[in-house]
Amino acid sequence: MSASVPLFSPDEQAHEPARVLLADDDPVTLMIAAAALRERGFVVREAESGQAALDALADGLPDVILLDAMMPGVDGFETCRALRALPGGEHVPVLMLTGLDDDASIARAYEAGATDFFVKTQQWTQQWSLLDGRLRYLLRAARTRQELERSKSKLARAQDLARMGSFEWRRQGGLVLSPEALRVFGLPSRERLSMHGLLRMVPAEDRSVLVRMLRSTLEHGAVLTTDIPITPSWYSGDHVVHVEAEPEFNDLGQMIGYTGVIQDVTDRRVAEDKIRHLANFDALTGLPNRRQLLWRAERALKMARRLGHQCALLLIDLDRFKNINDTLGHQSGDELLTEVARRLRRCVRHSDQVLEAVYEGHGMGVRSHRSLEAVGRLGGDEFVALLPEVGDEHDAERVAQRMLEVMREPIVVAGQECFVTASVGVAIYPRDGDGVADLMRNADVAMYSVKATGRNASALYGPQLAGRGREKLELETALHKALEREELVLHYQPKIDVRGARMTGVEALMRWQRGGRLVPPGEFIPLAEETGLIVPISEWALAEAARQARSWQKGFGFAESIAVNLPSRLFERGDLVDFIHRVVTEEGVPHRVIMLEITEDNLMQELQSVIPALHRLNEIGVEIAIDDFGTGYSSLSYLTTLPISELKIDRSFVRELGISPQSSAVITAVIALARSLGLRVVAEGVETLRQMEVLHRLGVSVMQGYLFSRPVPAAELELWLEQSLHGRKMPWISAGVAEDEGGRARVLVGRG
Amino acid sequence: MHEIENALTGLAVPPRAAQGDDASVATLIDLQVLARLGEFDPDGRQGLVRRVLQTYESSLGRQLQDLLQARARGDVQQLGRIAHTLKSSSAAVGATTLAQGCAAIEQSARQEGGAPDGAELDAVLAHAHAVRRAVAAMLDA
Repeated sequence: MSASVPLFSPDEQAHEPARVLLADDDPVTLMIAAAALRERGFVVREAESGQAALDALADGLPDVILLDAMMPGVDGFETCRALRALPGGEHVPVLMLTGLDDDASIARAYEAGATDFFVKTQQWTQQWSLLDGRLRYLLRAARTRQELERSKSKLARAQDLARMGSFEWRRQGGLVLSPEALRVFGLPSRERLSMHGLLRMVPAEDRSVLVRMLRSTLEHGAVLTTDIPITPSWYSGDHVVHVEAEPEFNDLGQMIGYTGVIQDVTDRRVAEDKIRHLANFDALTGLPNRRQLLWRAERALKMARRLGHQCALLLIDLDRFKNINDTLGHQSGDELLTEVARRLRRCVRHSDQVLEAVYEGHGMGVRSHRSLEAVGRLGGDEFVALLPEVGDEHDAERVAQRMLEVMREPIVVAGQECFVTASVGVAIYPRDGDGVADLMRNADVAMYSVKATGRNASALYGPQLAGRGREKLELETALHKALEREELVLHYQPKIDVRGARMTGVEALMRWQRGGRLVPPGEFIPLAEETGLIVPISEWALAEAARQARSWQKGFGFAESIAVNLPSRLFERGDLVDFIHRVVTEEGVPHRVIMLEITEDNLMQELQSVIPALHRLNEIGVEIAIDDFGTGYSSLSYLTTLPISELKIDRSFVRELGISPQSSAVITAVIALARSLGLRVVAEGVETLRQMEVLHRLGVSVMQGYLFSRPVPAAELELWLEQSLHGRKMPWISAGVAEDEGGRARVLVGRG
Repeated sequence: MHEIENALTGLAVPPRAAQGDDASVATLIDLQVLARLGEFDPDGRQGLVRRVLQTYESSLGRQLQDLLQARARGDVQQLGRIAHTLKSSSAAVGATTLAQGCAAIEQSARQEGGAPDGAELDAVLAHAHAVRRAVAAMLDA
């Protein structure tokens, strides 16, 4: 088997001697001719009759056959005819040897399928170079033909693989398709397909366009290059066939037809469409993505600049989406986003497909930029609406209002009704920016201003919002994303009752892990308060504290409270109590694990509106502590009316202990007041043993500060308990204070 | 002429000096044709010329008999066919004159209603016998 595999290139094969089958009934001629041809390098097989030649063919086909025309029995003509009927025999060159002036034989030779004839002159047996030349010519022609056949079949195979085929169309004679081309249409190779039959495969809506295009191509004798959608009944699904054809002309320059190739490009088309779609549309909602939307916005601005109208960019950000995601899971979050996307696109004349002519800027009429109008998803819970033409800002505001309205209906995900609101910022071209980037930034600023003032509203960008520095804006943007990206963490600082070396609770302090740096609260809390971000951030802190309490409870029996700092504006919200109730219930921890700290300043500013919330919180078991006590209003009478449990003496008094006599006076007064009201007192910022001893002498036993522990990540707190309290190794314990009560140290936290 | 001698090694060809005396062989067989045949077998290893002459002699004998029979039957077509074959083999071995005679007979046999002239046929037959004898003599060496 392996020997039959052609390992040689055609050139190498050409060096192999050619095999000649020679048939002549005259033994003398046969012998001489054979000797002559052998001498010239041919491999010769002799046959003394037509029958002998046919017998020899059964052993294999030679490269060329020399047949004496006149032979008794089976003559040369008959032999030739029989050869042509053999498989593979149709391509072997046959040289018929005929007598001089024997025209009849020559004609018969061609009829019988001979390739050529050679006249046996009187001297032919002495003129071998003539015959030799003729034979070599025949062999070369045969080889060329064979190569052509081979390359033709290779082409056919390649076309088949590429789902490609060729065709011809003649003004006279119509359409002729190669078998491969027929296969492209799913037709058997002997089928005929007329132009009408082909057009019938094209969906009706595309047919007239195609016919018009073909007519115009024919009229101009132009090159034809097009993709044709076909839906033949014998195929499943839509197919796309690519056609490329060139016109052919006669000597008079008249177009006589077309020659070309067709190819099934369905897969390519599908892939191309998919890629284009993936690149330009959001996979979840199907809306245009950031890239597509910015592209549209650029075009819309170009048109607006040219035609002198205004356009609007609306930035839509869902309120508290993170909560939904956290509560219901990401899958439900995705469902919700999909529904929001569906509702938002109803609010504009959303176009999924942009007509090519729009960005080419011709042909489609002056209002063609309207097809750029769309809602897109920028990512996360941020959406953008592009209004390519608005009469004034009220047009844009109306759309923003519509968007807020469509969100009012509850969205059902995972069997639950969710209420979603959004904050919408609006920027108008050219008033609020000349380019897409400016407009996006200003829409963003407007949107944040909505967030800051309570959400669920829309706002137009205005210069009053622009006063903020870029740096602050960046910080603000980053902070906005910090929650989503889970960059915020809580660190915990223990509150210690030094009498028993006992931890009475912890205070949760927020940290922002921003790009490898831990941002202290002083740097971002004021900004968070200013922008309103403090609200979601505080909510997150409450939920996180509840979760941590649960985790510690399981870990080492934690049963104290975690104090969370809240701004007064949060107390104003009616749903704070519900919110806390929900987060502790979800974690399965008692309400008292959450303690709220509010600064004295904060509390005093909003006293009246905060009081009801404080009462309700107290009722469900959530204790309130006044932070930074002593720095605010000196009048302490209000304390009597407030449902509070703890006073935290401001660190400034602790720092001044032993330096300024006033500070110990304040502390003494606070303690007296607290005792009379039945409140606990906690000293903050205790850093030295000296401070601890003084405070203790003054009557404060619960303290907090670097002396005991700096604020640490949750995981480290347990370790600290193990080493400091249980191990009793800390200097402040051996300082003797802890032994005061009953002469015996007690560790009440944890397993002890 | 040296090549001729080489090619005809083993054959009873009159020596060069005697060629003029033995006019009969030289007029019957063109030795140059045989010599050219010998070129296909340069070192004579295949004995090509001898084999060709042997084949020619035996087929010539057969064909002469066939010719006589066809003539007796008056089978002009057969006469023509035999003349055709004899013509080409005779030309191939250098019996040029005999080949020309055969060509003439073939020609007249092929003509519609024509038959070879009796005297002409006799002459060709006589010449053919002479050629055969000459070839036999060459092979007898």
